[in-house]
Amino acid sequence: MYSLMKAGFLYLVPSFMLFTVFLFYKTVRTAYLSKYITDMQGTLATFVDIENFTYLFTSPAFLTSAKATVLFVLYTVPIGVILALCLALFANSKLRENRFFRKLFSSTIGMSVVASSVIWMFMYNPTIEVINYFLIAIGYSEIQWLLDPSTALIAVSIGSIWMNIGFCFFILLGGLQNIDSQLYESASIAGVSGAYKLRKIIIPMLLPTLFFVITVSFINAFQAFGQIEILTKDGPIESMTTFVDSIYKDTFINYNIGSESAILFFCIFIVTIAQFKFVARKLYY
Amino acid sequence: MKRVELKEVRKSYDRRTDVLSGIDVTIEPGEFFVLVGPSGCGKSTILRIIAGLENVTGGELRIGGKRANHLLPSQRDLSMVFQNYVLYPHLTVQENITFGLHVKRLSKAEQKQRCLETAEILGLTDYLKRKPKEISRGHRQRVALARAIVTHAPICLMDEPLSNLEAKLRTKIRSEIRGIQQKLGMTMIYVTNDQTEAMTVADRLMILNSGEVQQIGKPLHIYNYPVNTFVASFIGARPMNLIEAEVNGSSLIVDEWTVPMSDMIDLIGKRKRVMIGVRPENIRAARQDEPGFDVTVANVEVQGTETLITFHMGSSDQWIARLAGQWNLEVGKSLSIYIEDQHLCFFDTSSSQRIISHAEKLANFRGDLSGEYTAYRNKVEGLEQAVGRVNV
Repeated sequence: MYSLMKAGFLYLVPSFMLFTVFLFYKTVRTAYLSKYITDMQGTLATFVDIENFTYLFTSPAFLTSAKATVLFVLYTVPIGVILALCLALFANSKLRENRFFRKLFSSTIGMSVVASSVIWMFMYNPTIEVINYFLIAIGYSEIQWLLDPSTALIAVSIGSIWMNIGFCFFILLGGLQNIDSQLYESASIAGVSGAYKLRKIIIPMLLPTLFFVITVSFINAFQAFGQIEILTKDGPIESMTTFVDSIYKDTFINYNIGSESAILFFCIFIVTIAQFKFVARKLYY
Repeated sequence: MKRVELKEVRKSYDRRTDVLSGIDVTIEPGEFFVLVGPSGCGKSTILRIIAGLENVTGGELRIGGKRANHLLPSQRDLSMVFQNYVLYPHLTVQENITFGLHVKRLSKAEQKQRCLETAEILGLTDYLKRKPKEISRGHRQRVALARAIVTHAPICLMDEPLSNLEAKLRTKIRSEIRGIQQKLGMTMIYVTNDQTEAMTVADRLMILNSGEVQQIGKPLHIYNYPVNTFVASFIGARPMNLIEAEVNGSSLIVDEWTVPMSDMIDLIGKRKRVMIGVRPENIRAARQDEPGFDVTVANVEVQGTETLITFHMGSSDQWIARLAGQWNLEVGKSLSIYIEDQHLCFFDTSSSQRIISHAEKLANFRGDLSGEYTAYRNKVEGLEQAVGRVNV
């Protein structure tokens, strides 16, 4: 019995080592760093316990970046997922022409963040004015999309939604095609309406996939960096600085590893709690 | 209750090859009609066409006297049970049963009432609050049946509903389905690839092979008078034994076996070769005074009330004899068998069609006439009712 246990643990060693090197150590180290102040070289200077955290929650810079992040997530995730779901529902029917739409809708998967950001930069660019051109054509006055603090976040969100939609569409379409077509046939014999079908069959059956897509979109939105950096170059004042942005600046520009770690730890903490809360709920029937 | 008529119905997916070629059948109201055939013969396609899940390429489909080619599935007033139950996994048994009933403008109370009635019939009352994955396969199948019954649709379609169940349960639910159908008087169209199932439940059955109707009729009639070798070997727990024989003067010759022809000589006519068919139960051990034919026993299956004996006939064909009682024969020993003339069937070697005597032709013709007469009378009655309604 004892030797059997020993063998069992032996099998666990490789994965345990991998986790230690790439996960446990980093997490513990982050927690450790968050309790120190660093000097200009980035070495640890003084132990300050929770001061980094109290500093964070009173710092207006952090609070604006928190607000920007939350707003960015709220703008991009629900709209992006709903749009992707609509496209997937549209492309899921058996029409042969749909092969074309499937390729079209999922084409943004292959685009790099930088390339798509550049495209959107041209779209918003005040001198090229693709979007403003249309706005003026339908009778609105032109907007300085990326310079105006009130529209910059929205403008970046629109671009981000466009970048993420291909991936969401792809996964949701896969989920839709996994639903047994006889469920629809049975419903069509019963004669229920399309909305009822969507509410009572498609959404519940798609829930695991939807959950996955929403989670990944959340992660993507929280991690969004490239498009914000490129499109706004920090944007109008600080309205566009998100978490990742401020981590980047604190670490590599201000060499302030301690408070950066505090932010990171805070983020991981929130995400972990959220995950436990959702995963514990039974999503799978 | 409604009649379902298919007239020259054709189906093709690529517009070149027909999956179904000219299906012609009338399914009477309240009838238990079984479509049977090997997999890929088009039986499920016919069912899906009737349900409206597939389009008709050519021909006409009439339901309850009305042309239904382009009606939506929900407008055809029918219910359907699928092969793999198709229950909604996230809904309880009760919600599954009542799914879509609101379309029929039933109040919540009525829905519940109907659900309880149906659950009572199928013995599901204790499971109404459970999810499909929490009940056994047999019960899941019952839920699928309940869903079909609860709509009170006059026509019920079933697509191999029992193929996922084990043998014992299959027999049980089979007889339950038959009982419910008779009780409610609905028109049942039932697809299966199991000939035993087809024989035991059907009022009439239709045998299909590669998209073509082979034979339509009452189970026993088909069993006794198969129209061709396909039907002969498909229907019956053990297929009909078949072997090709040479016609030599007034006798048929199969290797060493010689069958003297008496009154069947007219039947065979000028043919040089002919296919002989015998049901396994019509082969018996020869009595002392009978001119038996000696065969070598290749295998013996004693099944309590009967014994199945396999032996070689001719060079390659294996025949099966089904002898009543228990026979303790040894493999390799010889057995003298005897077949009465009246039990021999003959098939044309080129067309595979059964060679039919004039007497039988006449009987079939009378049968056809009486069928036409019934159809005619139904039509007249229908017209009379319509006229009556107009007068009132």
